[in-house]
Amino acid sequence: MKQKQLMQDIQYIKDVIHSSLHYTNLSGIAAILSGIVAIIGCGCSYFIMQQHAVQSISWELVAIWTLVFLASVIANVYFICRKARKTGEPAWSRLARLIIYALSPSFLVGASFTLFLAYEGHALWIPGFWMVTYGLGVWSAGLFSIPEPRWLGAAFMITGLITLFFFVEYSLIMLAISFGCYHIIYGIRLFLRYGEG
Amino acid sequence: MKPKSQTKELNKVMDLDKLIHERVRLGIMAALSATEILTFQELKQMLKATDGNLSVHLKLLAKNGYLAVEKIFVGGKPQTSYRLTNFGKTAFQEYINCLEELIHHLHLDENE
Repeated sequence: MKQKQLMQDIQYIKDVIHSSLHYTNLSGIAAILSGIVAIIGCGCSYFIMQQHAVQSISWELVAIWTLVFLASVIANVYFICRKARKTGEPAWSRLARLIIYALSPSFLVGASFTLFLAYEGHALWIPGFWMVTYGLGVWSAGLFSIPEPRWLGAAFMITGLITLFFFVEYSLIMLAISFGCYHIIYGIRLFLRYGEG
Repeated sequence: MKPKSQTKELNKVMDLDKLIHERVRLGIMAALSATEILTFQELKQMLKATDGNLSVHLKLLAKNGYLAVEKIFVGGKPQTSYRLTNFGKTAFQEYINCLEELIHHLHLDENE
């Protein structure tokens, strides 16, 4: 019985416990890309809203934000799978399923209430509402992963509430700051601390 | 001092639960202690074990009362889940305590 062998056993126990509680295939690059796409989305929205009456939702806006959403999902799926191949930890696992369960209610509620706000002509309330619901989802999903997503979720909830309370007229800028800058900062942090596998 | 502490160490090693002290079984115990309940497929994925190897070790742990086995049908397919029994939880805790003590003794040896 050698000390080295015992140390290895203890490390193995720690590793198994850690990997059974924390999903570690999150990608910093995907977060940075999502942030950039969100800022581009804000820029395009600003351009379109200049041409249309404020508070009305045009099909262009719906198309832009659907594309932003899809681009972010695709970037995440691609880079998570890439990281999983390198680390050997499965991309689709029990933890990944729990994360999807935690995220989906906030996305579904967010999307359906967005339709209501748009239909009722309260377009400026949409960004703040997105930040709050997204923050709730990311916070809960973060319980099955490393600590960083929880900070991201908290930042989104706080920024969302501040936007809804005080800065509704600056919603688009707040949207660029949160979905753009927060994601980029979060992505850089993930990249520097955990790498890409 | 050396021979005496080595005897002590040897006694400690004898105390280590032989049923847990094996790579795959140690992994099973650790994973279940962290998550409460896992299916066969989840365990297989987490421990990167083969079907045959994993089921042999699961059966051994279950036979000795460390694990409770639950079979349910999900969409017509049988799914087997495992959780630690109270006996299993205590055994794993004792195993960890034992490891700690053993390491502690080895450190003492090094300092002598």
